[in-house]
Amino acid sequence: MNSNLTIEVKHLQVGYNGKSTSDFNYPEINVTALNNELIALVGRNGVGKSTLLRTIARLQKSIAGNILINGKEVEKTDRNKLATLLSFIPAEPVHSPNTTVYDFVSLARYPYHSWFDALNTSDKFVIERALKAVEMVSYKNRQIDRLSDGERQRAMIAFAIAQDTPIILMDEPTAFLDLPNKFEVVRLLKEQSENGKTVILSTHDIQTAFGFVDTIWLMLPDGLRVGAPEDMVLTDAINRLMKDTSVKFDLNTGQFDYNIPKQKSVIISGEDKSIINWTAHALARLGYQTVKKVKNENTLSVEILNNEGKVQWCLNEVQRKPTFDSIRNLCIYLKMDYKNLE
Amino acid sequence: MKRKRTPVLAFFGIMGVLILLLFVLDIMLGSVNIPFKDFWGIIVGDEAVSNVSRQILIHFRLPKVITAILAGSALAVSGLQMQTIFRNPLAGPYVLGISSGASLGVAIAVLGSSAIGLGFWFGQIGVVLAALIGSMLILLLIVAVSIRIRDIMTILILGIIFGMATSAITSILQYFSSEGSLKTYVIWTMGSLSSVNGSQLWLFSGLVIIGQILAIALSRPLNVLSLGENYARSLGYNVEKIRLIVFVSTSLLAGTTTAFAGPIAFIGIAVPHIVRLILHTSNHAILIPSTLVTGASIMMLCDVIAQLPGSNLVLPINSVAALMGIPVVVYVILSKKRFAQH
Repeated sequence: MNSNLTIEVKHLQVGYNGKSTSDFNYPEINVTALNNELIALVGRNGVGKSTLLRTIARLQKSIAGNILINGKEVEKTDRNKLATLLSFIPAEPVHSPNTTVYDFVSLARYPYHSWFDALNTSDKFVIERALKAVEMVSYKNRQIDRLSDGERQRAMIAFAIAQDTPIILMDEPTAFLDLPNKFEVVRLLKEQSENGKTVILSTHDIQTAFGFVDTIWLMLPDGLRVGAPEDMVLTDAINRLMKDTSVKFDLNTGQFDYNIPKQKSVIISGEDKSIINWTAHALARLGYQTVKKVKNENTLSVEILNNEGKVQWCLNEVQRKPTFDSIRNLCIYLKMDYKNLE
Repeated sequence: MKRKRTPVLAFFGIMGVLILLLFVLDIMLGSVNIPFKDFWGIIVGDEAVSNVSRQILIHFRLPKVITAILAGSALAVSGLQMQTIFRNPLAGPYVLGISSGASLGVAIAVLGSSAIGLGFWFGQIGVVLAALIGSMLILLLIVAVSIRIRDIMTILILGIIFGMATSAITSILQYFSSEGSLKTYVIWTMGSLSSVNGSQLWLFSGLVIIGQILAIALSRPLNVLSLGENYARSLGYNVEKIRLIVFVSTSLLAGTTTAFAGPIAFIGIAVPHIVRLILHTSNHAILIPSTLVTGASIMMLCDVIAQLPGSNLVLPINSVAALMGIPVVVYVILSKKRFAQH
């Protein structure tokens, strides 16, 4: 057995097997996680990401199959022992009136104590270290309910760090955050995985996860795909995720784009490569495909001029040659013109 | 952490003085005032004190003050438990329908016996037993529900519905009962601290003390539960088991208080908020003892006010408690802008 193996999921079936109509059953899952591994569990809303995470954390029962943590079955592990192996941070922002950040994080030390003994110096050291790891030391006396969403998420990560478990599961840690905070949260989790932990975060926000994580567990409706983010691109699994939407992953740009039919063509000429690229990007949105040679009589020609540091876009039409000082104005003109032709 | 220590100690210091003061005041005041000189004489064993004063103090005032202390501390701590477990600032000792159960028991005993023509007088201990049986039956119902249902909000709603159902039955009994027994019942609903005598006082104190010990033992699980069930479970706590113990503790506290002193409203909701407003903590190891002493002293204060010092009138304790508690509850509602965010 690989000694780096922390989680083994074998023939697992997750879901709800209720008497009601809301039966939900995901195809059998077989997957493993290693220490040092940062994993993003990606999937569309409602596919069962939380259900899988909660099942691994033993917050809900599986329908069939096994989950092993460090080689031992989760269902047979003592609750308290499990709390020292695995921490689970739920998706909803923590809410607790009259509680400071320090109070909150210190609760993560309870699994190491009986119901009565107080926190000792080593607990205090672990709590301080956790606060330091998320850069929240100066926030420790602040009320948790008065923090911003980003600060609160960092406090929740500190909670998981203070619980001092080899495995951290986080349900949708980036859901309520703005873009800079999303990247910050993923970076903090990456640091934890670099310290030897297995970190699994669920997200529907594939772009944030893409650049940072080691592995993606992609929950498609017909089963779980596992691989590096790049594997997901090359096997086209990522476009399976986008099924039934007008968005496609562009293999060349590494970006998601609306799948706009490009029936018109444009030739862009100029000196600066990046200005040409971004102009092409904008015109693609209007349905123009950038070409090298004239395709038909409707092919547009845009020339990028650089007059002593001032960039101008010049449209080479038959009768006139209008120039624009921004891409926005160029686009406005093209849209108006297009309507006039109709 | 040091920052908090001073106010907690100061709080208990002030509370100690306050309890002593109210204790003496509550013993002295009543339909017959006992002068402080007599009070002191009885304490130090002065034989010269009039026998009437001695009899009143030992057989009437002392049981009444002890009842006030037991009732106030029990209702306040059980209110705190319910607010934490339901994560709702408006929860109180009676949300589970405990007082409605007790009321139904008393109604059947007092009204039912006259309605079916038996007309025998149950007596004081009969009322107490009926109330105890009524509230324990509701507890059994709640326990049976909470074993099957995991969702705490469903339990809360069922508790309220059970309460409504028992009130409906009580109304039917009231409708068919004789005038005399109806008055007995209505007076019981107004609450009274002075109906508990010698031997009953032992039973009352015993049950309340067991409930309080359970409550204090539960401080840590309650701290974790105040973050939400997901946190509690992932820290290795058996949430269903904790809930059961909390329900048993709360019915011991609120159930026996209702049996011996009638349904006293608002103390249970208001006192935990007063404590939180002063101490700004969510740590139940501090909150429970503070709520206990504050509940005891506020109940004594209510009783002092109910005696209307300087007059021969005595107000029903339930009305005084409500008038004291309602402003606090209103303040809490108005000051919580995030009320809806639970």
